[in-house]
Amino acid sequence: MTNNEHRNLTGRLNSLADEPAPPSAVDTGWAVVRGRVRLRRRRRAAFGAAAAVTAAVLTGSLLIQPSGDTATPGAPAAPVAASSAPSSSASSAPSAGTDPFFTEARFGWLPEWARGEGGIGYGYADALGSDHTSAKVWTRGQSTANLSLALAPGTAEPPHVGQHTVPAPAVDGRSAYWLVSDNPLPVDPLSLRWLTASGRWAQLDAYSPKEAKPEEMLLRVAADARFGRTDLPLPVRLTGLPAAFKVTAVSLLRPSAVIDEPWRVSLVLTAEKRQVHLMVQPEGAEPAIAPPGTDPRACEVEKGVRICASTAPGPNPALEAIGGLPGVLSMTGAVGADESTWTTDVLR
Amino acid sequence: MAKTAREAEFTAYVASRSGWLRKVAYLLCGDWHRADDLVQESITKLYVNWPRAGRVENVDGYARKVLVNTFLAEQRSSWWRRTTRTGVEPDTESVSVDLDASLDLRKALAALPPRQRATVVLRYYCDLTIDQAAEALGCSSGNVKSQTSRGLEALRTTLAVRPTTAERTS
Repeated sequence: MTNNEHRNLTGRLNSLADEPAPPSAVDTGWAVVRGRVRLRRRRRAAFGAAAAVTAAVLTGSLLIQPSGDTATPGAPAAPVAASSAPSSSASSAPSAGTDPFFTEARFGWLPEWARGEGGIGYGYADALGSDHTSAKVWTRGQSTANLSLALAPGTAEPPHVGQHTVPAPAVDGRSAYWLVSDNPLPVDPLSLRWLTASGRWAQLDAYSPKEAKPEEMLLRVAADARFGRTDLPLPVRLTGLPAAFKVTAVSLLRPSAVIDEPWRVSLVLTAEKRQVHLMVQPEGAEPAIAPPGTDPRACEVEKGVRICASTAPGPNPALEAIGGLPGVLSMTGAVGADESTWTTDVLR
Repeated sequence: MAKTAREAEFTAYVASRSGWLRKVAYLLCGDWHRADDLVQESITKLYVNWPRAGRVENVDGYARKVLVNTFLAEQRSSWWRRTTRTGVEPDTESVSVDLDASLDLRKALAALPPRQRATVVLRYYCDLTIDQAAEALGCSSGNVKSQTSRGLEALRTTLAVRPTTAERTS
C-alpha cells in the first residue's frame, strides 16, 4: 500500500467513525454495578477455595506461610542477599531529603532484551491505592516485552480479584505463587507474587515475554530484585512552590513509548484537590500530548529540556495565586537533558 | 476508600475515552447499537481488571485490546452468528442506493472476516504498527501482515466495483 493509499484509507475510516451517530447508550454506572457483581462472585469463589485449603491445614492460620524461613508479614526478617545498592546510573544519586520521587523496588538481574538500567522507568503516586511504589522496565516502544515490578505498601497480602493462585517455587526462600486470570485475555501478563524479607509482598508482571520459558526468567528476576527506598533524580527543580502544592505523582519513562525519545518525566502537583500536570522532555523530542481533559498549556525550553504545564479548565484559586501556569513554569527550572546532571535536590 | 478511588479513577477514564472506544467499536462491528453493547461489555471487563490496567504503561492500549478481544470473542460465539444471520444488524442492508463514501466503506468493512476487519481498523484507524497490532490481537506480526494484506486487497476489490464511490473518492 502506498503512503497515499494509507492516508486515504485512514481519512475515510476517520470520516466513517465521525459520521453522525445516535446518542450513546454506554452507561458507566451500570458497568460499575455489573463489575462489582462479578468481583463479588469471584471473591466468593476465591474465598471458598481458600477456606477449603485453610481448613485442611489449620483453622485460623495464614493461607500462605513463608516456605524457607519463619518470616511472617509484619515481622521483618533479615535483608535479602542481593545488594540493595542501586546500579550505576543517574538513579543512584544519594538522597538529599527534598526529592518527591522515589522507589522502594528496583531490578537486579534482567534479561538481555530489557536494556539494563537505561531501559527502566519508574512511577510513584501517593494516592493510587495498592501500588504505592513501583519500578518498571520495558524495551523501546509499547509493543515489545516489558516487566513491571511493584511492592505492596503494607504487609497485608494484596487481593487477587479475578485471578486464582498456583504455587510457584520459593523466591529467596519465601512463599511465592503465580497469579492466573480466571478469564484470560491475550493481554494478561504472566504474574509472580512473593513475600519479601520485610514482610511486604512484591509482584512481578511480564508482558509479552520473549523467553520460551518465561517462568524461569521471572523467578530469576524476582530472586535478584532489591527493596528499600531510593530517591530518584529528576531533570527539574521546583523552587518556591507554596506549601499548598504537593507533588502527588511522578513518573519517569525511559525510554518513553515514543520512538527516539530517550526519556520523559511527568509530575502532578495537587493543591486544593486541583491538579497541575508538568510534562518534561528533551527539547528535540516530539511534544507530548497534554493529559486528557487538561487545558490550556504553557511551555518553556531551558537547558535542552522542554517543560509543559497544563491543567483542567475551571477555577483554580491556588494556581491563580501563583500566576497560573506561567507562574508554575517560573518556579520550575531545568537542570539538564543529560541524566548525569539530574538531581534529587528537587524541592527548594 | 480504595473502592471509592478505584471508581473515581475508572469513571474519569471512561468519561474521557468512551467516545473514542465507541468509534473503534463502530468500525469493528458497523452498527452503533452493537458498538454500544461492545463498549458496555468492554468497560465492565475494564472495571473488573482496573488494578491491572493501572499497572500497564498504556491504559488506552489495554482498553483497546479488551475491546478488540471482546469483539472477536463475540464473533466466535454461536449467539453472535445466530443473531447476525437472523438480521439483527439491519443497517448494512437498509442503506439507500445513494451510497456515500462512508457508507460504502462501512459495507466493505462489514464484508471482511472479523480478524481482517480488526487488523485494518487497528492499523489504519488506530495507527498501530504491525507489532502493536499483533500484541493487541494476540497473534504474530506475520499474521498481522497477511491479514492486513488480505483485508486491503478485499477492500480494494469491494470498493472498486462501486463506480459511484470510486468517482467520489478519487
